[in-house]
Amino acid sequence: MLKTLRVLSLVALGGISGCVRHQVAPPAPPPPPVVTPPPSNVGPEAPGTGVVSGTVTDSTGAVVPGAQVTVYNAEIQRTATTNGSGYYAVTGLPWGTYSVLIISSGFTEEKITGVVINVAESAQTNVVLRVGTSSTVQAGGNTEQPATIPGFPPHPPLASAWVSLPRLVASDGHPTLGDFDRVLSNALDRMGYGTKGYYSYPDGFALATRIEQIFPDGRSMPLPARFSLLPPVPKVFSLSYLEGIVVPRKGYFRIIVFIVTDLPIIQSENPATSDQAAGWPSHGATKLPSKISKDAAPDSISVTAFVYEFKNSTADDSSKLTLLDSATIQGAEPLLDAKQHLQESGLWAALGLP
Amino acid sequence: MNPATISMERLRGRLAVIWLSGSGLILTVMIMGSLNGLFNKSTQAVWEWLMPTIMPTVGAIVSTLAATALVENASKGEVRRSFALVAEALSIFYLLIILGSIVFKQSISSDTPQWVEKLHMSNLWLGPLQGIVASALGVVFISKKEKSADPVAAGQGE
Repeated sequence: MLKTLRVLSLVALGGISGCVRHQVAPPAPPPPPVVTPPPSNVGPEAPGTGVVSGTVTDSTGAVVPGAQVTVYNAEIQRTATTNGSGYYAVTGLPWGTYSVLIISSGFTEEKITGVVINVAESAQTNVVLRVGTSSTVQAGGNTEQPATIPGFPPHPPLASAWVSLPRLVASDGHPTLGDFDRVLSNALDRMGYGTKGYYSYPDGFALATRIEQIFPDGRSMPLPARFSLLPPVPKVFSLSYLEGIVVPRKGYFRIIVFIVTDLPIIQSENPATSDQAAGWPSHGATKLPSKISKDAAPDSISVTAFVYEFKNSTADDSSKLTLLDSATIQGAEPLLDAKQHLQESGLWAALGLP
Repeated sequence: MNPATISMERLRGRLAVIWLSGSGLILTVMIMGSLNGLFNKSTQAVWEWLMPTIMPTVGAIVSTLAATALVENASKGEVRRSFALVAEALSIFYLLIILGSIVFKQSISSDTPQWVEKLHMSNLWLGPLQGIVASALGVVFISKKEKSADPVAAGQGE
């Protein structure tokens, strides 16, 4: 029988652990919305950062050594392990609001949200944990690693196009988020996307496809050019080749992010960069953790497809991709809408959409 | 006329056709590419590579032709056919290498900055080759023998 994990105290301090001198410093600029893998150990405190620390005990009051504590938000994730006294400290956290996930073998996992670190005001936030149950502890005692499911930015970077999909899973029969995942991942597999990255998202999850090269009309290129960042070289002395002697050739690329949530999604004003978007499939989890997939999908849940379309040119460094959106194309090229992208990629039909 | 020789005037004419048509084609492709943004930020670097590869030779040819244009039978010398063949072959080979470097840009590199790097690397072999070509053409277009053959023309060519 699983014991209940209880964390007696969790303190989020802007200046604890000897970093008081940093409290007067201006807050660190918001980090780019790139999910970074958690460090194996926490390094020295950086200026303008804070600490989350506390002690993990069980229901009897005994300390729990070796518990994995992950402090994360949509943009950053840090992990620490409790010592022999059940104490942990996660340092180097920029200003922001975090969630804390505590996992230890033989215990149910515990999650605290809304832990605020405000370096500028030296605010101290004490958080009282609630005892709860969770189904994420797997038979055999292995727990899922929270590090494998980083969070997608709550305000996704500005996309080239987006569309809210008709309901993919019937609302009767108490569908779960896993049902939505199966529909999406099956469609992606059928259309040959292969690698994909999963992210947690408030009240749901996000699923990012790998970057693929497309024709200007939105159709996926055949392999091997499809998953290459280099525009394919046409046959020598073909019409396209002759044209390429005096005219630069352009390459078009696409990443689709499906966000499944019942919350309204507000995009960031900042457009996605190619480096950021290209990393989404590899930085995300390879599958949706059961913690998320077993969650019930409310009736109001929806699936929104965000299409990030990029362009490069043989006239420039071909590794530099530029996001295509209504601001950058300036009417020079027709911008496909998200439904066209999904239709031309074959995903619209593969998802069984009319 | 000795069948083993060819008149200097005729050889000059043939070489001039080779060089002017070849360099004309190269310049046309380059200008079109530049105007279409094919080289974008690397445009200057591409032209900096191209100009020294063809312009000295083309300039010498045009200068000589201009100097002899007003004089009838300006060049009375004879040149061995074998040498004429070598001079023509070297010229065609050299111009084809330059033209190929431009026409096969897509096969050489995926983007212009990489291609420009390779163009500048090609100076390693184009430089010596250009020296050989210039030596061959120098005999034809600026040979001293011609001076004694036609002092008027030679005087104008200097």
